[in-house]
Amino acid sequence: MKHQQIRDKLIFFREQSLPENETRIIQEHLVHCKECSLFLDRLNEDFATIQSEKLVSADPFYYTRLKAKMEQHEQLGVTSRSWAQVVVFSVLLIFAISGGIMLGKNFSTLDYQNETVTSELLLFDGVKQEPIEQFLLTEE
Amino acid sequence: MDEEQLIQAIQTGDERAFKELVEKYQLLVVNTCKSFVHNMHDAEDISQDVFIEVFNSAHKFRGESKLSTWIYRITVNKSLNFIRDHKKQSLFQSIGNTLFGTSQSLDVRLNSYADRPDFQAENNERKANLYQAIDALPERQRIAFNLNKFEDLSYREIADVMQLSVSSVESLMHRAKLNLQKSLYACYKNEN
Repeated sequence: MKHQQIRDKLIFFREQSLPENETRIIQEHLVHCKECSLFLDRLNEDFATIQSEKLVSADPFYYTRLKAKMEQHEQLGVTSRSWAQVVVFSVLLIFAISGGIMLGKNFSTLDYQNETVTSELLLFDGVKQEPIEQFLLTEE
Repeated sequence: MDEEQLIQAIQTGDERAFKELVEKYQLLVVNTCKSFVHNMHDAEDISQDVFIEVFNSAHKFRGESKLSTWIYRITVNKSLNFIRDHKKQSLFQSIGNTLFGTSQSLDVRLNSYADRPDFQAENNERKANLYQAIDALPERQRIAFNLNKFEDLSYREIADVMQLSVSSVESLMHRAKLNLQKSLYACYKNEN
């Protein structure tokens, strides 16, 4: 195996998960390859760090803090629920108002065509329709 | 109380049973959270959210898996959500800084461990490099790796938590180790 191939297997070598023949080849390589040997030490130290990071004893006040957070959550839940109610009612009110306006516009009995007729009626020019001469003649 | 009795008692709102569950699983949950966020303060915060979720969703536990498997699942999801939220927060913050020219930084904990005071105080750049290498792993590889290396779970147990086959977990672990070794080797080369 080449140097790079061996280096790529060092993480598996340290876990003893390689076949026997590969393990032997790597062991032989490590004897004379300083770089691989140092990198293996480095890997071992890094993995030891992971183990040292673990908590091994429980915090006796953990449950007290947890209960305090749960109570805080419950209070926040009530507050957010009341806010949600306000928001929902406001949205419903806006919908109701805009719905009313729409209904009013679409289903109003006041027809635009009728409005035109009305305006025509208002503009009725009696003099044009019945000239004054005609009126006087009729009076006689 | 065994697991079944414990969860049944919690379902009825029994606080003593809940306290017993918290005491039993506290280290498991906090250590798992810590393996994802690498910070004790955040890990405790997330772990508390995990227990609140366990208490509120106890009725959803059907007993199809082990209680610990269910708790691990909630813990992993909560930790990943926390990381995603903070990434978004950091992104918005950096956009804000670029637009408004502010140099304030509220939370950079997930961007650079080397800049964090606790890591500076410990003068432990190597630990920072290790965490950065773990965090750079694709999500599923990171979950499998963390559960195996920080929690000492077997591939079978990881498969149960992640709802995958054992061979998929083996494959994830193999790729995770290769990727991690590559990142650590790059750090090692930079240092020398």
